[in-house]
Amino acid sequence: MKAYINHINAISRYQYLEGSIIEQSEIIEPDYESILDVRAMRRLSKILKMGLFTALSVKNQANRQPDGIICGTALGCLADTYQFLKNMSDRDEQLLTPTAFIQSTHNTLSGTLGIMLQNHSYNITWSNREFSFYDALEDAIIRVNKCTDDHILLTAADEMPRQVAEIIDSIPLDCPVPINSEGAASFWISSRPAGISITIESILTVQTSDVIKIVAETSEKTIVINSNPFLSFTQTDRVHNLVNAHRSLIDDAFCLHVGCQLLSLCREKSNPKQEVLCIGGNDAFSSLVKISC
Amino acid sequence: MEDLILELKEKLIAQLNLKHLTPEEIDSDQPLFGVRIGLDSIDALEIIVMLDNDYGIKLTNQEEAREIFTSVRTIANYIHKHQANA
Amino acid sequence: MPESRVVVTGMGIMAPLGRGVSANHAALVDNRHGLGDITILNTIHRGSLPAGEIKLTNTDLASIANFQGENIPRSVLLSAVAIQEALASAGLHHNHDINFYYSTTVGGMDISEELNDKRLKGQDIDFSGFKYHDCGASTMLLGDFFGFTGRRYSLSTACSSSANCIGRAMMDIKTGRARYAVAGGADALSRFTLNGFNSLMILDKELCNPMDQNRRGLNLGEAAAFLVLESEENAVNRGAEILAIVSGFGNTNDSHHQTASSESGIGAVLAIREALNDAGLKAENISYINAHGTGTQNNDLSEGNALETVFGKVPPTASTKSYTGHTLAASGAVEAIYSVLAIKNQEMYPTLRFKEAIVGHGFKSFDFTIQGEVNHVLSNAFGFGGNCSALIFSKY
Repeated sequence: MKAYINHINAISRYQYLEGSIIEQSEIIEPDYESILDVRAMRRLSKILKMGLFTALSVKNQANRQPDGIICGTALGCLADTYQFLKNMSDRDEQLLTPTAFIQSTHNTLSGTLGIMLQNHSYNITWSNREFSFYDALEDAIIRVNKCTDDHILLTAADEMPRQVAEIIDSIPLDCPVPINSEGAASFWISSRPAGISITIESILTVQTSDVIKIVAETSEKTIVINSNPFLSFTQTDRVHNLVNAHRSLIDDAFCLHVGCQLLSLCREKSNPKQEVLCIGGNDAFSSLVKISC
Repeated sequence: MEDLILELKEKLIAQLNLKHLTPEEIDSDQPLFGVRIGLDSIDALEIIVMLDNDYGIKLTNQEEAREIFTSVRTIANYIHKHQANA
Repeated sequence: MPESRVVVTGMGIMAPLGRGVSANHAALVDNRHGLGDITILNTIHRGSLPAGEIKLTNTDLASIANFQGENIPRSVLLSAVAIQEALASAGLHHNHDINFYYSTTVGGMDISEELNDKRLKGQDIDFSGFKYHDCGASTMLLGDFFGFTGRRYSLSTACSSSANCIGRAMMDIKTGRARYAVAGGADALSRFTLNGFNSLMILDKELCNPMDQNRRGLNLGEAAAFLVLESEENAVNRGAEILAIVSGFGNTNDSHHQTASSESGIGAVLAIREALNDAGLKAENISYINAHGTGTQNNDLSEGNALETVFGKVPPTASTKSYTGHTLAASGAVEAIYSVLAIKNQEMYPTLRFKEAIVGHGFKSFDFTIQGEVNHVLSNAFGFGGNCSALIFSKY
C-alpha cells in the first residue's frame, strides 16, 4: 500500500538541522495566536493548542479540506483529566464545573478539529500506548488507498502536565527512559505526491527481538532513526537513536517528522535517492516505517 | 450594585478564562452570549456553579438561567434580589 | 478479488441486564431493566442518581474470569468475562489468528480516581495502581490474557467507540487484512464519569425516558460487549453458526459542539446514509432502529430529526438505553448485540417507560417487545466531539 506525506508540521523536541538531529530539553511552543483565534483558545489545554496548531498549519499548507481527520494520542487530555479529578477531591463531588470533564475525552482533539474545520468526514482517535500514532498512520494509509481521491489530516499529540509527570515518575515501571515529554506532529497523507512528496514505502510491525537483524541488513542508502527506547543502536553517520533522556509515547511521530525533514533537505541538495527507516514501539513489538524521496 | 457588577466581571474573566478581556472592556449591558463576548452553553453551566458556590443561589432550570445571564447587569440584579430574600 | 461479506459468529456481554447473551435476551424480551441504586461504586451520589450497575465486585469478576493481578481495571475484568463468552460461542481459542479491536473511554479510571483522591488527601499510596490507567494498558492486558496473536488495536471516541471498533474490524475482514476479529469495548462506572455528566446537568434523577417528550436526561451504565467477526466464506468452511451479517458502517462528524448535537443532526444523517450506502440498502429496507437514544433533551431531539430526514417514514425505533443506561464506550457493541438478537429472534425491543412522542417529530417509539419481520437493523452511536457512527446488521 503506497501513500505520500505531502505536508508536515510539529511541535517537537527534535529537529533536523544542518545535517544533524538535534534534541532540545524542552519543546518550543509557537505563537498559537498566529493560527488559533484567541477567543477559541481560552479553554484549550496544551495538548489541544499543540495539536490544533500543527493540524491547522498542515491543513493550511494543503489548502483544502481533508476527507478524514485521524488522531493518535497515548495518554489523552491529561491536564483536564487531572483538573477534574482534583476538583472532585477538593469539593467531595459537589458543585463541579463541566469544562475540564468535557475536554478530558481522548477524542477532544479530533472532535475540535471537526468542529473548527466544519468538516463532516471520517473522524477517529486511536489510543494504544506506543502504537497510538502507528495505528493512526496505518488507518490513514488504508483510507487513501481505498479512496484514492481522499486526503487525510493525521495528527499525534500528547501532553505531560507537571503534576501527572510526578505521579508517573513514582510508578514503578520497567522503562529505560522516563515518560515525561510532550508535543504534537501533523501530516497530510495522500495517494498522490504534492508538496514535500515523501513516499511512505512500507509500514509494518515486528517483534522487537528481530529489529537489530533487520537494521543490520539495511543498505548504505538507508538512514535509521530509532525512537524505541528498548532498542539502542551504536550511533553512526546513518544510524541515530532519537530518544535519549526523555520520551513520550508518540515519539515515533516525531521520528517520522524528523525523517521527513531530512529527506526534504536531501531533495533540495539533489542527493541520490535516500531512504529513512523510522523505528518505534516497545520491548515486545516495534513499528517500522520506511520513507523515501 | 456597581461593586457587585465589577466583582462579577472579575469572576467571569477568571472562571471562564476570558484572559484577553479586562473588566473595563466588558460593557455591563452587553449580551454575554452574543458575538463579542461569545459565551456558550458550557459557560452557562460554569456560571450556575459560580452562583451556587459564591452567592448561595441555586439555579436548576437551564432555560431560566440563560434569561438571567443575558448581561452582567441582569446577573447582578438577580443576585441582589435573591440574596436579599435568602 | 471481490470483497467478502462479513458475518457475526460469536458474541459476549456483561451488562446491567446480566451476564451473557442469554440473560440479556431474556431481560430484553421480558421488558426487565437493569437500572437502580448504585451500591458498589463509592460515591456521594448513591441513592440520588440511578445507574445500570453490574452487581459484582471486582473481586467477584476476577474470580469469574480467572484473571490474576493487582490493580486490574474493572472495565478489563468485565471485558475478560465477555470475551471468554464471545470466543466460546464462536468456537475459537487463542491459537486462531485473531485481531483484537478494543475501546474504552476511561480505562482504569475506577482505580486511578480512588488512588488519586487518597494521594491528594495526604495518604500513603501504592503508585503502581496507576499503571493501567491509559487505554492501551487495557488492550495490552486483555491481549496478553487471551494470547491474541494478531494485531491489537484500541481507539477512544467516547460513546461511539465500540461501534467504530466493529466498523474497522468489518473493513479489515472484508479486505482480507484480518481472518478473525474480536471487536467491542467496555466502560465501568466511575466517579469521574458520574460527576462529569452530572456537571453537565444531563443526568436523570429518575429512571430515564429516552425518546419521550418528558425526558429528563440519561442514566449511566457499565458494560463490556464483543462481537466475533469473520468472512462468510471462512465461517461456512469451518461450520460456524452465522448469527447475522455486518452489512454497513458509517463514520462522520457532526461538527457542531463538543457535547451537543446540531439540531438537524447532520452528523447522524450523514453517518446513517453512509452505512446504508455501504450496505447497498435503501432507507425503506431498514426494519428496526436501535437508536442512540440517551434520554437527553439534545440527543433525542437531534437524532429524531436526523431519522426523519433520512427515512421520511421512520421504521420502528427504540432505545435500549431505557434498559441498560448509557454504557459509554461499550454502548455501540452492547447495542450491536441487541440488534443481532433482534434479527435472530425476529423481534424488536422497546423503549421502556415510553409514553409520549417528542413534539415536532412525526414518529413515536413503543414500549413493549414487538414480534415481526426483522431483516435489517440500524444501530446508532453518537459521542462527544461530534463523533457519529452507524452500523447496519442484516439477516443471513
